[in-house]
Amino acid sequence: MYRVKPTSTSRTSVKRREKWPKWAEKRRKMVKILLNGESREVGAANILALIEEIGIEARKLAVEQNLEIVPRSQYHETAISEGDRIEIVHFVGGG
Amino acid sequence: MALDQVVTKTDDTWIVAGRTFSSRLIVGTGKYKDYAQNAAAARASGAEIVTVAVRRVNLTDPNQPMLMDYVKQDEFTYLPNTAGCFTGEDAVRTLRLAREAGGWNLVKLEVLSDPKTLYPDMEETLRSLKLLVKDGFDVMVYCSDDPVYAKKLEEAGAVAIMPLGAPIGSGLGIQNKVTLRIIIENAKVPVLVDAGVGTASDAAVGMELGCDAILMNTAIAEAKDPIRMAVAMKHAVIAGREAYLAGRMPKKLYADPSSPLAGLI
Repeated sequence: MYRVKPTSTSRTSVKRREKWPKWAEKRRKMVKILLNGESREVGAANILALIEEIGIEARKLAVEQNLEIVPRSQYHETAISEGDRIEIVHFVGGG
Repeated sequence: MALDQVVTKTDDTWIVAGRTFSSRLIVGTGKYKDYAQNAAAARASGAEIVTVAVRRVNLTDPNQPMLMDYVKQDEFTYLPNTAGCFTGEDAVRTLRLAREAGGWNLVKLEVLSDPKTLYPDMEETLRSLKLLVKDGFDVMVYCSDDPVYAKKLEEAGAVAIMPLGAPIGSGLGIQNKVTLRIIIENAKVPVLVDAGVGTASDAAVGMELGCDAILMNTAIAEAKDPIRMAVAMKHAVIAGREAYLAGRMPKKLYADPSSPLAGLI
């Protein structure tokens, strides 16, 4: 699995993809998922890659895939499939 | 109480779910101008516990400020809430995510009914509590001031009962001293007044009733100077607690002179 380092903005993900070597591009299959309630096409093959694609530190998050919690230790081995409903949450101010 | 005990009164702690705290003020982290002000107010209040909410990460701007970078977990115990949940299943789902994000079990359950009053739906709250207890959570429960329901919550395994003193965010002050006192008398777990405090005297009133701690958010966050109000609340909670422990004088219908009547010239 080919991964890119997270950068300061997620918008650069399209640019980064252009730089990927051909062999990685071939393996990469875009899948359509529902991410935080929004329909999205993502290239990430697993949860860790998805988080890196978004550009957020994993230590501050919790992830749910199809209503099941994904433990942080399993991000890299949890595959993303077409039609997955994924929620990525964190703590915000509240009373 | 001896004077030296007053000076070093660090022994007045309270325990919830086996965790010991010395501050009897829990503060929320909502409604502040920004997280920096929020953190400054939380520090000024002396609180050891802060309530937090669980929400979706903003995917379009993942670099916006994050609570955890300001109100730090090595400084405060996070108490994740279920704000916005209307069913037991929503509450369990939210708090499981909170447990994964933070790695702890102590949580605040609130299952609300209508948006106008934000009054708790007690039937659903009790059902949610049972689901959470079964899932291994230590649950502090936001509830109405109904002593019967308070008892039921305790029997279902709540680690703290947190009745409102007035509607959330209203700042109306403690409106229900009689029912709060009954709940406090009956409970074997800590009782906290959660919601209703508007200013420092309200916090003192709550503590004088004998509750173990007070939870507030808006009274500090929406004060003109939140940091100064946080300091005021810290003192008010201590004052109310000390007054409760000291035991107030009996109320009388008429005057009773403080200077002796004997020896008048």
